[in-house]
Amino acid sequence: MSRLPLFALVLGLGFAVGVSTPGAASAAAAAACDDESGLCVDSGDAKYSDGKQSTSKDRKKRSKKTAGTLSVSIDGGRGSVFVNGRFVGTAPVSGVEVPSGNNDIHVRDGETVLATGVLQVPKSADVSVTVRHG
Amino acid sequence: MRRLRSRSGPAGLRGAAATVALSLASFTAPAIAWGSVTTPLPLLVKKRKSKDGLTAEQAADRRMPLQEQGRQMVEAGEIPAAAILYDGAADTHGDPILYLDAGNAHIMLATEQRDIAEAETAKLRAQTAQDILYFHLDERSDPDYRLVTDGEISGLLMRAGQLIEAADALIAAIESEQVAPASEPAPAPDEKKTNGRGMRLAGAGLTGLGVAGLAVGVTGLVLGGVHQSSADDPAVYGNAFDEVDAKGRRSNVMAIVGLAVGGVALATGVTLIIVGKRRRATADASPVDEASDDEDFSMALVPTGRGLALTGRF
Repeated sequence: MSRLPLFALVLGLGFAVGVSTPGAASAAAAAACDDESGLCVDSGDAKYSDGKQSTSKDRKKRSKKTAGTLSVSIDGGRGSVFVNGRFVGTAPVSGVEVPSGNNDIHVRDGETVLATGVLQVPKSADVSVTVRHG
Repeated sequence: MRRLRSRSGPAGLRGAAATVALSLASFTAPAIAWGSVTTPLPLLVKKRKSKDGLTAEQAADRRMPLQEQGRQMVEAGEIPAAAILYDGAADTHGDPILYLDAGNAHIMLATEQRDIAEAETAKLRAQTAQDILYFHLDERSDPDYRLVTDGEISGLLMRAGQLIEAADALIAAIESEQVAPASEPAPAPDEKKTNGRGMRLAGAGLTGLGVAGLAVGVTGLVLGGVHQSSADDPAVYGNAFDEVDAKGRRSNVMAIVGLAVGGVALATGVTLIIVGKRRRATADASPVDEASDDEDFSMALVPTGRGLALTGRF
């Protein structure tokens, strides 16, 4: 009789593991970037325009008063992150202050450009993006 | 109204034409400059300088005292401190030359300490320097923020490539060094096998068998002697003689077999024990093993209530 609760516990644990594993797998799949541009916005409601470059008008509109933050991770490799023409760090980078508005973002690994375009950062937003390597 | 008219007159048209000309110049200038064609057109464009801009000369001035400090640390043998200094300065300024200096410091540490992690760090620093240098050649890099001159870039890229190659070679060398000692303990079981323990055990067994065989042989001899004296007795004849004769033959066989088998077994056993002892002496056994070997092997003939008993501990 005393073995019944133990059996139920083991059965329950097994069921929980069986149910949670596909969930974890799907979460990992969500973190991977499948976008053709090579850059996926994970959070922060930012918009990315692949291959574009900011205009002088965009540069004037950038506001540091309502600056947000940018976090960049690379899926499947390494690379360095450049924002508005300057080096900000080697991925993963997090909490990099970026002005709201259209910002040039460029991620590369040596000669290989992983992503380059314009990232529209909403006011005071914490933007997180994932760049696919290769 | 007059003013408006005069503005829209020939003078106004000239102004508009000049504006268009300047706009065209500013539009085409970067493309021409990118093609390395010397032209006076870029001179027409007034170069805009941002407030927080940096020239390659300013970057060199900022870098020089840090490099001097790092060099002194390396000369004094304080390579870890130099690596920390270069790492911090490179991250702060995003300077590719400081990243290469940091890579050099880490590879020195890796060579000295045979540390793969340090070699990998050196490689990462060189790769970061490569990223920044290649980006300097990209039109998207800030023209008002230059860390090195364009003329320096190819030499620095070569230096980064050499650093990466050196780091890879060092990692491979350290890995092969680490694999070799790891495979060394494998022969240990063989040493244990060849330390003569098995020989000593077999020798002890054969010695015991030999002693028993000799005892049987001696018994056979004694019984044979007794039966021989009975057979020599003239009073014994007929069936009694045949019976004594058969017993005497069996005793003789027992004596021959016992002495022969016992002798061979004893000789072999003693030989095995001696060889086993010698092997153990030459084997590189641990102190614990040696102590246990000294303690666990003993043989003795012990008198008991029923005779002699051969006892041994292995």
